[in-house]
Amino acid sequence: MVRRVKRTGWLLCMPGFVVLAVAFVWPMIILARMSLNETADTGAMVETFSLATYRKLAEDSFTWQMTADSLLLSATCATFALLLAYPMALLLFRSTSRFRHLLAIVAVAPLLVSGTARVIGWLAILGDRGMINNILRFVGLGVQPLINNWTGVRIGLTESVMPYAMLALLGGFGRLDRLLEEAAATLGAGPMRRFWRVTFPLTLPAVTAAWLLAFVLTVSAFITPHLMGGGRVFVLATEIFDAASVTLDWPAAAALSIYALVLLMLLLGAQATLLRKRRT
Amino acid sequence: MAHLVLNQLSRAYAGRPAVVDLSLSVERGSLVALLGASGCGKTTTLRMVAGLETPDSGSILVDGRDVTKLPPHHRRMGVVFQSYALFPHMSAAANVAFGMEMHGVDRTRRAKRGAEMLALVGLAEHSNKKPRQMSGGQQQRVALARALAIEPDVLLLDEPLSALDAKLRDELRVEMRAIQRRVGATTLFVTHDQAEALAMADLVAVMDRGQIAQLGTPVDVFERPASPFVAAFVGRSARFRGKVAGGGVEISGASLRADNLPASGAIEVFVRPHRMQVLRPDEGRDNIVHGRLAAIDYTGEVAQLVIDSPSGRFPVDIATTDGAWRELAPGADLRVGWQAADTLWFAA
Amino acid sequence: MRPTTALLTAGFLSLVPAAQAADTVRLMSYSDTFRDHYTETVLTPYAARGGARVEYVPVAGLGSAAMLGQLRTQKNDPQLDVIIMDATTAAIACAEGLVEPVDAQMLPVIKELDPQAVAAGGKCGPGVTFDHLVIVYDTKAVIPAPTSLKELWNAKWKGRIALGAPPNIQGLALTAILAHADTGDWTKADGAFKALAALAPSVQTFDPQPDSNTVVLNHTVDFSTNWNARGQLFHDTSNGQLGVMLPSEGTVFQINTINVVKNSHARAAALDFMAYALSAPAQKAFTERMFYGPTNLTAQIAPEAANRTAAAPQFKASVIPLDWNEMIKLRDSWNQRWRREVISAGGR
Repeated sequence: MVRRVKRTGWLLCMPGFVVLAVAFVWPMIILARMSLNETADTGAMVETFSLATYRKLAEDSFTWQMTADSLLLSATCATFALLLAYPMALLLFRSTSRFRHLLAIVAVAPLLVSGTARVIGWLAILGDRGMINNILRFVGLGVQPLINNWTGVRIGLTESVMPYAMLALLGGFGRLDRLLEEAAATLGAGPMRRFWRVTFPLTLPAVTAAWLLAFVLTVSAFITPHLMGGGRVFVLATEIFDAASVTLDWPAAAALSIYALVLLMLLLGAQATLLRKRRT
Repeated sequence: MAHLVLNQLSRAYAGRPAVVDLSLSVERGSLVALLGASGCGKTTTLRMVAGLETPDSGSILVDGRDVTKLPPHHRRMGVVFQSYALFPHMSAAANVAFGMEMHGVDRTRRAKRGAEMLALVGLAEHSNKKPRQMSGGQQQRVALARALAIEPDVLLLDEPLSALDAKLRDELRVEMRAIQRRVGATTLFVTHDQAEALAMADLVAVMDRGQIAQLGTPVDVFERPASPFVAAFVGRSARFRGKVAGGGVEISGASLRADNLPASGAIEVFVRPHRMQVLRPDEGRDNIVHGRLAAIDYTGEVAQLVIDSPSGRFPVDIATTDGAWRELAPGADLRVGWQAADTLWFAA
Repeated sequence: MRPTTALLTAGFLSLVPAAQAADTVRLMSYSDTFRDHYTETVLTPYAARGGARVEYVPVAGLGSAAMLGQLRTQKNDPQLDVIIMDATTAAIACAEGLVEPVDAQMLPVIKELDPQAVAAGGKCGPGVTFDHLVIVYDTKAVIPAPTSLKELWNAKWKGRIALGAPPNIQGLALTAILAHADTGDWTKADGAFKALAALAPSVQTFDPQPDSNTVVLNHTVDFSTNWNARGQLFHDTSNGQLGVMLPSEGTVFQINTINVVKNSHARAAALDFMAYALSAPAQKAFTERMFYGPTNLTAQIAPEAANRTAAAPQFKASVIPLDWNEMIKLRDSWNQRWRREVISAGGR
C-alpha cells in the first residue's frame, strides 16, 4: 500500500518534471553547448568545442570585479528590502483592519507596474533636477547624484524586490502567534524584548527565505541596473544582456549565464547546509 | 484582605458586554475556578487580570495594590494558556528560564531554579527538548513550570487541561492541584469542565453572561445551587415542573415532597440522577414517579437510565455494583423514588 | 525578460515556421519611425512600380543585434528575405554566412554607389543609408550654438552630458573622432582616452535612457551623443529645441547595409527589391524624408535636405574614413578601455 502511494506520488509529479525538463533542463543544455563555441575577432561565432570562452572570462580581472560587485549589490539590496519590508509585513500580518487586504494590494502594487515605467518614475524623483534634489537644493544641501550611478541602482533594485520580500515574509509568518507575545508579556518581557526574543526569532526562517528570494532576484535583475546605472554599473546580469543582445557574443553570454547559475547554486547550497546545521 | 480582588470589572466588545460588573475576592493560596460555558466571560476576566485586556471600568487589586493600569509585563502574573503558548524556538529549560531572565534573575539562579521547577513538574530529564519534541502533557507541565518560575503574585490558568485526552486530564488535575498547594500560589482557574472545577477548586464561581451566578464551595455549588441556571449547569438533573398544592408539588402523575416549600406557586424541581433509585415493588420512598425505561447506557461505575414519565423524560443513574441493572430492559415499567431532602426546588 | 531567456525564446520561436507566399519579400529592419518612413518612401513606390509585395517585419528588441539573433536562429530555414541593419552587425552575419555575397555583376546598381558604402558591406550587401555621429544639445541652454566637441570639456556643463558608451557604437565613433583629431589616425586612441577620462566626471550618464533625444528634451542633460538622422527628426518635431551639431573635429559614418538572406525563399524578388532600395529614386525619397545620407551618388537630393546630412558636399570632407571592419577588431579592447579608463574616472 505504502509502495503504491509512493509510486502514485511519482506519477503525479510527472507533469511537473516534464515541464521542468522542457522549460529548464533543455534550454540549459542548449546554453551549455553555446558556451563551448567561440567568437572570432570579426565578431563571428565559430561552432566548436572549446573552453576558450571560459578561459577568457576567467583571465579577465573585470569578471571577478563584476562578480564581487554583483554579489555585494544584491546582498545590500536584499538587506535593505528586508529592512523596509519587515515592519510593513508585520503590520499587515497583525492588522485586523478591514482595509487589510487593500493594504496588502497597495504594498505589492509595484509588481503591477512595468520595470521601465517604474524607472521613469524614479528619474522624476531622483534625477539631478528631480523632486528630492529640488528639496535638497532648497534647504541648501546641494545636488546629490542619486541616479545614473550605484546609488540609483541600489535604490531602484531595493524598491523593485521589496514587494517580493514582503510576500515571502507574509507567507512565512505562519509560525507567528499573538499568544506567544502575550505569554512573553506575562513573563515580564517589554515590547522590545518581546520582539527580539520571541517575534523575531520565530520569523527568522521567513526572513532568510525572503532575503534569499530578494538576493536571487537582484542577481538576475538587469533592467534596473541597465536603466538606472547610467552606464556605470556593471553586474553579471547586465553583462550577460550586453553580450547576448548588444555585442552578440553569444558564447560569452552563455558562459556567463552558466557561471552565474553555478555561483547562485553554490551560494544556495551553502546557505541550506548552514541552516540544516543550525537546526540540529 | 484578600490577595486578589476584582472590583466591579466590566468589559464589552463592540458594544456587546462580555463581563458585567464582576467582583470577586481570592484569598492567598486558594484556588478559585471560574466555571462557565464558552462565551460567558470567564476567559475575558482572566485576561483582564493578566493585563492582556483592559477593563472598561472597575479595578483589579493585588495585595491591595491597584494594578488595573499596569501593562502585563509589570504585573508578575503566571499565566498558563489553553494552548500553552510555549516558545517553539526554545528548549523546555529556556522556556522556564525566560521569565526569570526578564525579571533580572542572574544566570546561576536561573539555571538552579529552572531545574527545580522542571523537577517539580517531573520533567527534569526533558530540559533540553523543544516543545515540538514533547507530548501534550509534557508541554502542559512546562507551561506550568514556566508560569511558576517567576514566583508569580497570582497564577492564572486558562483551560489548562482542555487540550489533553481524558485520562491524562484526570492525572494532571491531581498533580496540578498538588503542585499549586505545595507552592501556595493564589490561583484563578478558568474551565468549562465542571468535574475539573469541583475537583480542584477551593471556591467555584459559576459564570453566566458575564456575571457570577454563584460563588461557593464545590459542595455548595453542586448540592445547593443558588439558581436554576447553576443547578442545570453544574451536574445533570431530572427536572420536573409543577405547582405547590397540599404541602407537595403536583406534577403530572405524582405529588412530590420537598423541604421548606412555599404555600403556593409554580415550582421547578431538580433531582440529581444518582440520588434516585429504581425501586423494587416492596420498597418505598418520599417521592415516587412511574415511568417506562427508554434507554440504558452502561458507563462503568454507573448505568445511566433514560426514563419516560408523564411529566417528561429524565435521567437516573444506578450503581452497577450489585448487577441488578442487567435485569433492566428498555420498555420495562419502573418505579423511581428518592427522598424529600434530595429534592431541590426553585420558584418558577 | 532575462537575456538568456530572450535568447532561448528566440530559438524556440524560430522552430515555428511562418506560412508565407513565395513571391512576398519579407524585409526586416528597425521598428518605430524608421519603419513608417521607409514604408512610405520606399516600399509603397516600389509596389506602385509593380514590384513584389514587400512585408516589413519590424524587429523586436535592440535593433541590429536582435536582427542578427533572428538570422542565427533561422539559419536552417530562413523566414526573412532582406535585412537592413548596421554594418558592424551585418559584417558578422556575412562572416557567419547568414547573408549572401553580392557584387556589381549580380547587382549593377552597386556601380552607382559611394565606395565607402560598398566597402562597408565587404563581400556582402552594400550600405543603403549613411548616418553620422553628432552631438545633440538643448538650444535654450547652450548659447551660443556649439561647433566643436571642445565645448563638452567646459566645466560649465558638469553633470549635463550624456555619452553613449560602448558597447553602444556611438562611443566607439566618438573615440575614433577624438583619436583622429588628436593623431590623424583614428586607431591611435591613447590621447583620446585621456581626454575622455578627463571628460568623464562631467558625464551624467554613459547610457542615456530611454534615448539620446529624450534626455536632452526632458532636461536631464544638455548634451548627448546621437546619430544625425534621428537628431534631425527631433530637431523638427521639437520646433528647434533640440540642436544638432556636426563637430568641427569631423564625424564618422554609421552605415546600414542591405543584404539578401542566405537561402531566401524569394531570392529573385529579394534581389530585385534590393536593387530598387539602392537606386537613386528610393535613396532620394528616403533621404529627403529622414535625413539619412544617400549611398547612391547619382541621387539628386534637394539642397535643404542634403545640407542636413554629412553627404552634403561641404560636409563630406569632415567625414573621417573609418573602416568598421577594422573597428570590430578594436572593439573589445576599446570596450575594456572605456570601462577601465573612462567610466571608472567618472564616478558619481
